[in-house]
Amino acid sequence: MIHFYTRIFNGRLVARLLGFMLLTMAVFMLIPIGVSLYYGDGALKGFLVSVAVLVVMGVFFRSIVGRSASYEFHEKESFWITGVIWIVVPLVCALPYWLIGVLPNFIDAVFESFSGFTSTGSTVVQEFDSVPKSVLVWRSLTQWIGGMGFILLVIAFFKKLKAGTSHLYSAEFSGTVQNKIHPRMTNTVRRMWLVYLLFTILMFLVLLFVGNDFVESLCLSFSTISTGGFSPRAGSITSFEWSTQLVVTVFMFLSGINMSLLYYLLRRKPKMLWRSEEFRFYLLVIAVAVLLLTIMLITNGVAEWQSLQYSVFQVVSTISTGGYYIAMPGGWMKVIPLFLFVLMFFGACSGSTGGGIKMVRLMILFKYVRNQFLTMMHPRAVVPVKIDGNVIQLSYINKIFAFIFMYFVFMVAGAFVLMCCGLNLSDSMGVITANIANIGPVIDTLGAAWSYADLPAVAKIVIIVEMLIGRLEIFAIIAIFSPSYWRR
Amino acid sequence: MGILLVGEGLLMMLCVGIGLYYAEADIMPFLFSALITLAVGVICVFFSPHKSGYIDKRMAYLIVTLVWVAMSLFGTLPFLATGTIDNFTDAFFEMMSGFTTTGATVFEDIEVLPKSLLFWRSLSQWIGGVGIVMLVLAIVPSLGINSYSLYSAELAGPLKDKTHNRVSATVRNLWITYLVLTVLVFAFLWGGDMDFFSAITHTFSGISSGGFSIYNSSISQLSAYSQYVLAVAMWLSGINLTLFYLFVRVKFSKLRSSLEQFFSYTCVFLLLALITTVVLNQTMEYDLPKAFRLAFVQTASVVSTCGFVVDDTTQWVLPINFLFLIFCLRGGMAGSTSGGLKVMRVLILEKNVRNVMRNRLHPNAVNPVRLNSKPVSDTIIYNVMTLFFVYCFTIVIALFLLILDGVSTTEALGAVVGAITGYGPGLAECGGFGNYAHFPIFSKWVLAFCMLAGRLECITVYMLFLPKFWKR
Repeated sequence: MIHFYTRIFNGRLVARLLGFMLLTMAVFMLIPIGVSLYYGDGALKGFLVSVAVLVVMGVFFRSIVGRSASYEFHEKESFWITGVIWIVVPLVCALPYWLIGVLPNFIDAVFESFSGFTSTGSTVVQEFDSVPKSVLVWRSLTQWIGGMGFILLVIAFFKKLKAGTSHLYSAEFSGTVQNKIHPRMTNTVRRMWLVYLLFTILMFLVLLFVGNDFVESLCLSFSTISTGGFSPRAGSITSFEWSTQLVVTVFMFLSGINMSLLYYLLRRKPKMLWRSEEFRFYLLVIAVAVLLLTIMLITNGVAEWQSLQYSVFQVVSTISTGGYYIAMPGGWMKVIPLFLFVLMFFGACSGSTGGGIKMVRLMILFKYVRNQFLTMMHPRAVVPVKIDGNVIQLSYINKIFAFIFMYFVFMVAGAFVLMCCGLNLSDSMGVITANIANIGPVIDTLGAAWSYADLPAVAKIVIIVEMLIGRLEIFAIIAIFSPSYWRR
Repeated sequence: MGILLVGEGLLMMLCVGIGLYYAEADIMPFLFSALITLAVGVICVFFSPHKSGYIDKRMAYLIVTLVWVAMSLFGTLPFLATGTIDNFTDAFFEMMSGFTTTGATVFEDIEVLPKSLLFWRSLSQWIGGVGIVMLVLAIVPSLGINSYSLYSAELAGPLKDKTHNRVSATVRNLWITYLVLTVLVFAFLWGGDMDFFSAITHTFSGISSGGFSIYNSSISQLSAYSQYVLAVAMWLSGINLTLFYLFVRVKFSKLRSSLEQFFSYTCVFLLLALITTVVLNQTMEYDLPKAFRLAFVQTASVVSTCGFVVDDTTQWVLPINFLFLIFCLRGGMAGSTSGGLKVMRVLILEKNVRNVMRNRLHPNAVNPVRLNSKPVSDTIIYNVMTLFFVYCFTIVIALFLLILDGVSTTEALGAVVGAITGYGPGLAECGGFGNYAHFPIFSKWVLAFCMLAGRLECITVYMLFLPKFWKR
C-alpha cells in the first residue's frame, strides 16, 4: 500500500506533515484543557481522550508511515498535502464535540468542526447555555487556526521544507497578486502569523476593556480575526452590548484586508494601504453597499441611526465573510436577504483570512469586461488589464474566469442537492452561497438566522464539501479527486 | 427599417384576412393598425437619408437593436386598437415576448381573444424566429460584429463569404429551410387531429421556439400525437438551421463542423428527459407512458427554450424545475431560433475550465481548447467568457430590480431566467400555466428588456448604453 502511493507522489512526506499537524493540534488543545481545569466545566475527560487520539495518530503518521521521508516535492504533492491535511485534521478534531456530548450525533460534530476550521461559522449548536466554556473556546480556536490555515503553520514551523514552499502557499492561501513582505517564504509567513497574533491580542484586550468576560472575549477575538463567525451565545452577537458590536465590526473590517497591508500598517506605513487598488475597491464596495442598505431600511421606516448601524455591521460582516449577524431592525423586507446574497459573491481581499471570490478577482474581471467592450468598438486597440500598475496576463485572467465558473458550478450542484433534500429555492441558494464563501449564517425568509441543525445528513455532508471547496479555492480539493492527479 | 415595417404591415393585413375569414366583428381596428404601420414604413423608406448600402459597425449595433424595438412597438397597435389590452406596458411586453420568441404572456384568459389576434401573436414569434436566424447566420457574418464572431467562426463554407451575392444566397437558402420545416410540422399537425387554425398557430410558435399557445393550459390538452409532433418540432428548432440545409444538400463533410454541439444538445435532451421521466413516475404517480410523454415534451421545450407547457409544472418537484432553469440557460445550438447561452459556448467554457485544471499540474503544457477537434482561438474563448459574465450580471441586476418592485424571490428568479433565455414560463405564479399579468409595471419593463438583451446576446444591446458609443 505504502509502496503504491509513494510511487504516484511523495506519500511519505504527506504522512509526515499530516502527523506533524495532528501533534500540533494536540498542543493547541491544551488551551481548552486549561480553560476546563480553571472553570471545572466537566469537559476535561473528553479533551484528554481527544489529545490521546491525536498524539497516537500523529506519532503513527509522523514517525512510522512518514519516517525517512524525503523533502522533495512539487505541485502535485502540495495539492495532496493541502487536501489530505484539510480533510483528516478537522475530522479528528471533531472528537471533543462528540465525546463531551455537546453534539451527540457524529455528523453534527464533524459539521461543526469543518465549519470551524474553514472559518465558516455555520453552527449546529442549539442550546448554548449547556455548552461547557472550554468547548466554546475550542470552537473559536479552530476558527483561529483555520483562518490562517494549516499550511501556513507548516511553512512557518517545519524547517526542513525548503524549495517549493510557494507552491504550498498558493495551494491554500489565496495570494493572487502575491505581495510578499519578505523575499523568503518562511519569513513572510512568520511575519503574517505575527500580525495575526498581534491583532488577536489587541482585539482581546479591547474586548476585555469594554467589559466582556475572559472566555467571551477570547472566543470573539479568535472568531473575528479569522473571519470565522462563531459566537459564544445564541443569536450570534445580537445580545452583546453595542460597544462590543462596534469592536467586532472594526476588527472584521480589518481582517478582511490583505495581511501584508496590515503588516505595513503596523510598520507605520499607512500610505501603502491606500496605494493598493484592491483596498480602495474594498472600501468602495463597502461604502456603496452600506449606502444602499441604509436607504432601503430608511424607506422601510426604520430610524436613520439604527439603519446605519445595522447596515454597517451587516455589510462588513458579509463582505469580510465574518458571518456575524444582529437582529434586523424594523419590519421584514425580503429584498435585504437578496441584497446580502449578492454581497456574498464579493468576498474579502486576497491574502486575508476571509473567503469568497475575492475582491481582486472581481476587479480584474470587471476591468477585463470593460476592455472587451472597448475593443469591440475599436477592434485594433490593445488595452491590458492593470492592477496597481502591473499588467495582468491573459492566462491569469483565464484562470480567474475558470475559477469563477467552477465556483458557480459547485454552487448550482450544491443547491440542487439541497433542493432534493426538500429545501426551497431561495434557502438552498442562500445556504450554499454562504458556505462556499465561508460566511456561515444565512438570514432566511423570516429574517431570523437559518438553523443548520435540522438538516438531513446528506445535506450536511454537501455543505461540508462546499465549505472545504470554498476555503481551499476549489483546486486543491478537485485535484485529489481527479483521475489525472492519480496518474504519474 | 422602413422595409421591415412595410413587411410587418403586410403581415398584419394577413391577420385581417384571418379575421375576415372567421367573420369576426372587430377587424376594423386591426385594419387601421396595419395601415398605420404600412404608412410609417413607406414614409421611412422614402425619406431615408441613408442611400448608400454601407453600414459601419456602430450602425449595425444600433439597427439590430432598433429593429426589435420598432417591430414590438408597432406590433402593439392591434392589441391597443382592438382594446384587448388596455395599457401600453402590457402590449409592449406581449409583443417583445413575441418577437424575441420568449412566449411569456400577460393574458389571464387567452381563449377569449379574437382569432386574428391569436394568429398575430404566433406569427410574431415566427417572424422573430426567422429574424434572429437571418441576423446571426446571414447578416452578421457579413458585418463582422464581434459578439457574434462565434457564429462566423463556427459556420462552414459559403456562409463565411462576405460578398453581397453570397449573403442574399444565404438568406434565400435559410428562408427555404425555415419554410420547409414550417410546412412539414404544419402538415404533421394538421394531418393529425388538430384543426387548421390551432395547427398553424402552434406550428409558428413551435418551430420558432416561441411558445405562445392559443389555449390557457398551453399544449396540455392536445392529443398525445400532437404533443409528440410538437416535441420533435421544438427539438428541431434548437438545431442550427444551416445543418438542415447542408444535410439536404448532402454536404456531410461540412456537417462535421457542428457535430459536437449537435450530439451534446441531443444527448442532454434525452438524458434530461429520462431523468424527468423517472422522477415524475416516482413522485407524481403517473404511469410510465404518461410520465415519459410529459417529460419528453417538456424537456424538448426546455432545451430549445421554447416554452410550451405540457402539464402544470409548478406541481412537479422543485429539483426538476431547478434543472429546467439551468438547462434553459444552456439553450440550444448557435444559429437556431432558441435562446440561452447556446450549447457551443457552454462547451467552450467547460473545456476551458478543464484545461486550466490541467495547466495547474503541468504549467508548461500547451493544450488548446478543441471543438470538433479543431482548436478554438483565444479571442473566441475570451468573448464567450465575457458574454457569460455579462449574462450573469444582467440576471442578478434584473432579479434585484424585480424583488425591489415587490415580486417574490422564487418567482423573480423564474421570470428573469425565463425572459433572458427566451423560455417564457418561470416558477410559481408565472410558471406552468401561469402568466405575467399580476407583475408590477416596472417589472414588466425590466423583463421586456431582459428578453431583448437575451435575444441579442446582451453585448449588442449594452453597447448602445456606453457613452463612448455615441461620441464622434
